Amino acid sequence: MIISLVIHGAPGTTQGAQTALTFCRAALAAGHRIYRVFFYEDGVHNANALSVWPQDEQDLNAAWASLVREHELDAVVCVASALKRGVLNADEASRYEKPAASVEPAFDISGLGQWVDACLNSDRVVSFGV
Amino acid sequence: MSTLHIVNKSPFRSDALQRCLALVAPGDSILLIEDGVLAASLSTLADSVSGRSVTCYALIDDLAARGVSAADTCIRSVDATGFVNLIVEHRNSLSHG
Repeated sequence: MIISLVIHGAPGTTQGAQTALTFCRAALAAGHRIYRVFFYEDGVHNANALSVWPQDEQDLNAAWASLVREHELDAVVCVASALKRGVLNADEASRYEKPAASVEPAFDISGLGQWVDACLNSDRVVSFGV
Repeated sequence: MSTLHIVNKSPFRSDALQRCLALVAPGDSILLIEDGVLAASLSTLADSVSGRSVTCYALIDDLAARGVSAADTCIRSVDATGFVNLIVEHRNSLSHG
């Protein structure tokens, strides 16, 4: 079955991103296809490559980046949510004259239309961290 | 067309469960996750779904993390694979925030 996820919650603030990660791993292990993981609102913080976690806490940012790379997932960060939270790629950092890019390179920054597309092309969609 | 209602908020801090119970239809299921599993300790939930053909589930890891036991209630515990299966079995899912 084709499944897409939308994640509203930031790591360390709500449990939603952790629940979504566990769900995503279980869905892949069961043989389902993840069409897209869409990071929305505070969920975009999961894609911040500059986060540094204490050693005694799970690094959710690294865990997501690892899962996205391992399974070549289509991980999309909402551009409107990302820019105002300082989650930028090199192009956006240059465009807005900011000193650094922060998005994990395995994630794409794109528009809400990508979530509409995911809803149209998936058998199931699940929201986390609402 | 059944719906899986997902509740992730504590019933002591949010009315998410109440809004869920107002919407749930026969054949639907309720899945308690995160702080939502605290509802597993309440008789309210069991009373509310009694006789309505609604099945209640709770994520086992979230129950364990909060020291909540659903063993003596109407609630079935599921792991992450069970969560995925519930998503597959229901046409829609609705996360009550």
